[in-house]
Amino acid sequence: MSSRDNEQQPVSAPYPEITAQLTEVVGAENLSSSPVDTIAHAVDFWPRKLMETRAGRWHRGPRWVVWPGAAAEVAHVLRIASTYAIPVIPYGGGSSMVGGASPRGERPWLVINCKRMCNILDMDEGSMVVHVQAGVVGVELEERLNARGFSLGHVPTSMTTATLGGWLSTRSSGMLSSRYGRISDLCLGITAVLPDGQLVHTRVAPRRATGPELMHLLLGAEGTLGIITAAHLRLHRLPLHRQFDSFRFERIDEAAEALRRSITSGVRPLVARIQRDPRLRRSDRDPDAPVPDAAALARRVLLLAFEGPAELVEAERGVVRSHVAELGGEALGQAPARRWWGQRFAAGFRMTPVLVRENSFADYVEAGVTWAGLAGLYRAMEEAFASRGWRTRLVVEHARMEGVSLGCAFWGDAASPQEAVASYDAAWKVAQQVCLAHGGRLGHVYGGGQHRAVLLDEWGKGRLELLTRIKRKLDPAGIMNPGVLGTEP
Amino acid sequence: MSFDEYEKALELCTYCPKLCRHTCPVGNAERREAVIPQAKMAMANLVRKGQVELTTETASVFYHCNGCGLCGEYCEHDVDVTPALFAARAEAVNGGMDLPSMKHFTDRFYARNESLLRELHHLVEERYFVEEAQVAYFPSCDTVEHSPGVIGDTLRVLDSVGVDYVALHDGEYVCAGYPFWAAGLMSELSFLAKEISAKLSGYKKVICDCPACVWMMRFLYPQIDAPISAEVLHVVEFLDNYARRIEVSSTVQEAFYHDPCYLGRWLGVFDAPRRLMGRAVREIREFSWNRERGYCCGGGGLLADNLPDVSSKIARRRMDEVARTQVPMVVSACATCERNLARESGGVEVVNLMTLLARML
Repeated sequence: MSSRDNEQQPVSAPYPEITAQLTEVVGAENLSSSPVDTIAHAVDFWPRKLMETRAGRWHRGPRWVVWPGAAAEVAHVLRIASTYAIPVIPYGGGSSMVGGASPRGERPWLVINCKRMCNILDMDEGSMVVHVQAGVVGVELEERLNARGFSLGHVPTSMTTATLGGWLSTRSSGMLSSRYGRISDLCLGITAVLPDGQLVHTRVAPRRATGPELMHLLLGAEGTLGIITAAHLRLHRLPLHRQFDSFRFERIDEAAEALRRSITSGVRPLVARIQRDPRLRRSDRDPDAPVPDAAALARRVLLLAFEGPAELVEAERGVVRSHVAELGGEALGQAPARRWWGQRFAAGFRMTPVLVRENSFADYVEAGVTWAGLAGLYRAMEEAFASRGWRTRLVVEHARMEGVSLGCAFWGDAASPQEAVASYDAAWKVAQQVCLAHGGRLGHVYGGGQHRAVLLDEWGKGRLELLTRIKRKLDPAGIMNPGVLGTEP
Repeated sequence: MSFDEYEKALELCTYCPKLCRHTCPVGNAERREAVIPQAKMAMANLVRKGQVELTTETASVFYHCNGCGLCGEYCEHDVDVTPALFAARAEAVNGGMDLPSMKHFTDRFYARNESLLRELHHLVEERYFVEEAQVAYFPSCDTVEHSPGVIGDTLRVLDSVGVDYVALHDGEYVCAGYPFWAAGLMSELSFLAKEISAKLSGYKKVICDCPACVWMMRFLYPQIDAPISAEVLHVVEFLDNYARRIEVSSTVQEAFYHDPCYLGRWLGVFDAPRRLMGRAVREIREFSWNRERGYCCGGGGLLADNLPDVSSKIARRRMDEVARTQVPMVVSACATCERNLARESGGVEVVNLMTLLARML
């Protein structure tokens, strides 16, 4: 039987035999088929799936959940899964917003929950490198590092819920990425288990020029090519000095240009965000507040944070201030940026009250765009959503030399569950069209998952075919998170 | 309070991306997705809506909660998980779920109460049991059983500041019924609360050494038609007014203060115990998770009885932080905390604040 044929076959082996083999590997206490555990792994945080759940459509959980304690156990489990062609979901925090961590269809799924693998294996404080298992929840890792005077410098909204493995598998970007980079920039090497059970260790060295960096095959692969079980990560010393600045501009164009000039002249702010004037929140909440005029609605604020040695921080602030002055920005002091910093995790809570409402829809679109296209894409996105009556909140963040990410939270209400799903899909379609027309690259902050709209644009046909060829070679039984990133279900 | 009253809280948790995961002592100890606050609440919601059958197995999830309320502290929606999960426990009990840990619970409760009442009368001189008094001291079950010296120490500290008018409550109970609430036995709680309320309402003030007893009497009793007219205070709240009068003959160099969940997060009492402790300890060390975000000892929610290994693991995490220092002592103001932390103390002394003060007089 060819590997392709194998993929199409339903699991024919007797479940008790598979259960017995899995038990032998991880122990009875680390395997469950109890409804309590399978229900807990049935749905991640993909809004589309939650909307279906809200409307009463039940989603099946996996057949088995296992909690391996080491990479060797993961390897054994994957060999069993390959033998019986059981589809596998590598599971971290289960907070994927794109369906990357939830079973689909009628097949009997095996979830490999990595959270028992949560230890710091080694720490080289002189080289500032930590070797850590991938099942650790982000905030736990950061607390342990802070206790020793270090920080990873990776702070996404999912800090308190996602695991390191989840971040690596989705090439996560944090709020501090303008200074410290995204998780793939911080990762120096990985240990991973391939679908046939082979362990791979990529070497950690300051500089290598011996062939392609294979680590990057697995970073961002969302568990479709293997399971990352540990990583070497670059650390930063806890800052001695942190400062904030806030500036108001009449339009997005000047705000974006001030940020561009600052970044391209070498400033590396800890945080750089362009968002709506926070004063407009009053008109959102208070129906008696005066309706803001067009000029107020057009204003944008640039919120910045800097950290590092005091001299460096002050020098960077000076550079930014000069660019802001050239573009007519108004200095607002430290308070607005400080306020945002104090509430930096609040954004993660905002979608839930919307999704609780019957027939509502909501999600978060992210588009990568070069500086040249930013202002145009920003306005086009805002107009496209507003013209359809959908609410949006746009934010510019993750600034790099070549461009930024434009984040767009959208939400609305429909007349029925079907219309809610249709509006949701339509919103993604609109975002995709606007991106294509204005030079943006549509994505999602939490990866691609099962999200078709993202995949169509992000991957493109050629790239998808290449990924499929690589996957078929590494994963002939097609067990690793099938259906994710556009791979065969 | 019916299960449906928690609909909003249950719905919010069901559609939340598990943002409070890191706060849950049980979830952290078990590392099992089904027992993080979001999953427990989602399961309760599925049961409420009839989408999942209530069985012994599904109901068991509701008991994987130590009732500390730390998740609610982090929640931007102010969801209160503990009462919702305790209501789910009540639903399970009313649904006839045969949970092993709940077997003969009421009989065991009353048998323990009887035994501890006898013990209390052995512990304390009869002259302290005065029927006519303005202020009554209501000792708790865990204090009598696990930290009996605290009762005498409390009376000694009160005496030392000139408060010699406190009488021991000579009643039939040494527990305000937290175990019934946590077990989901609401009718038993209602009966007990009314009995206690009737007895204690004759006093002007009631002081307790158990933070959960105070919270029950002050906030839960009125909700179940058993209000107490007396002012109910934790002993540290009462003694705080006299803190300056406490004269100690010696002091301890340094000690950690552990915030009991019910005294801190639930009653909002953070500074009074620190002020009192400051009379006897030169340097008060703080845990990294302290005050509103204090981490539980693992003793709440019946966890120490139902899931002792998990409870110990939670206590170990707390004590591990102390072990990384050279500090020899942890002070608290709750017998349940002391009992649980002491089980994982690793040689560090875990002591009640009243005992420490009495020792230093």
